Amino acid sequence: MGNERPAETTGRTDGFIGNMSAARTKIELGDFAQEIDAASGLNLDISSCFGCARCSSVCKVAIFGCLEDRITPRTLLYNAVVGETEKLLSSKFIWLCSGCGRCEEACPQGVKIPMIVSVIRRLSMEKGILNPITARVNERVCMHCGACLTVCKNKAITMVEGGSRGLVARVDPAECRGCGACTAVCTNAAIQQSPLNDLGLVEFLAGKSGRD
Amino acid sequence: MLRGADSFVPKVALFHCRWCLPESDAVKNLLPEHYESAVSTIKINCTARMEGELAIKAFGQGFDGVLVIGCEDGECHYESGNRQAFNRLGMLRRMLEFAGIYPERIGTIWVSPYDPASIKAQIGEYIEKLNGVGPF
Repeated sequence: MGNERPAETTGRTDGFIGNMSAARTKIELGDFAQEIDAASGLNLDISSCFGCARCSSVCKVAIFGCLEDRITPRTLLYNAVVGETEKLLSSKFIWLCSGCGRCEEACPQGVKIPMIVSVIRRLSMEKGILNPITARVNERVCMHCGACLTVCKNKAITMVEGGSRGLVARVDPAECRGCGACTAVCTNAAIQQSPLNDLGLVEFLAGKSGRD
Repeated sequence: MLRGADSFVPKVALFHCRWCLPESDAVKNLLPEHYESAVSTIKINCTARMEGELAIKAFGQGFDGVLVIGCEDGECHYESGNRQAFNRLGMLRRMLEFAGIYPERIGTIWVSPYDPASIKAQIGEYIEKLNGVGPF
């Protein structure tokens, strides 16, 4: 694993490896890792990761996600510690992670990876990066029937006051994982998910294939 | 019958979940011979996205069958999306039957991504069945 690390970060990795023997000894966190800790208000144990990659071996996103930037839970933690902010915030990994928690179960150090991903997603939203796979509500046709609330497993949808229309559904892009269940149950086609909305599908069946 | 029974190649809209079959190109390799051009593959994030409306639209576009491939029970990346799809498509089958359309046109396959041979066999079975049903 040490060979893969880029040359410019070796100064940090020496300290990182040096702490491996003393498990759970805190190392000095980078700015970004401190930011994550501060934003969550919890002790997330980012620095206690020693890079065993058990998390990556059970992560569905790492195995089947087909990500170009090759972000896995292990590299996510590594990049958070060394402060590769841009790489993490623009990665598709944080949006595809469903927070299933297998990585946390597998982690011998008990690093709360799903929580860290969730915090990074929030930070990404604050930096103005949009969730590429989120569901979007057309508030003008939403009939606030609440069908989407019952199928959303991440509790990303809430009913809010939408002006003259009364209650409307609203999707929190930081929590939406893009499974599309709400789009499927919406009888009014008020919720559309970006990669496969109803219009996109008609295009597709007309001949295009292999679209992501 | 407009098309001869021997030359009939059913057009299939294949919806697959990205967590059990990540690559659309890899799906093409799992199809029986001569079916590569007759099958349109569509990658969805989870089979929970699959609704009756999509299947009906596919039939409206001239497809003979709709095949949905999703993860096995308990393996869904989104907790229970495949169960939702299972229930919804079962209901759609009953509705199609009621409307006088063969419910076999809607195929569902619940697979493990680690067993491509079984996926290939099940897709073959489905297409065989669709061959028997005939053109829409």
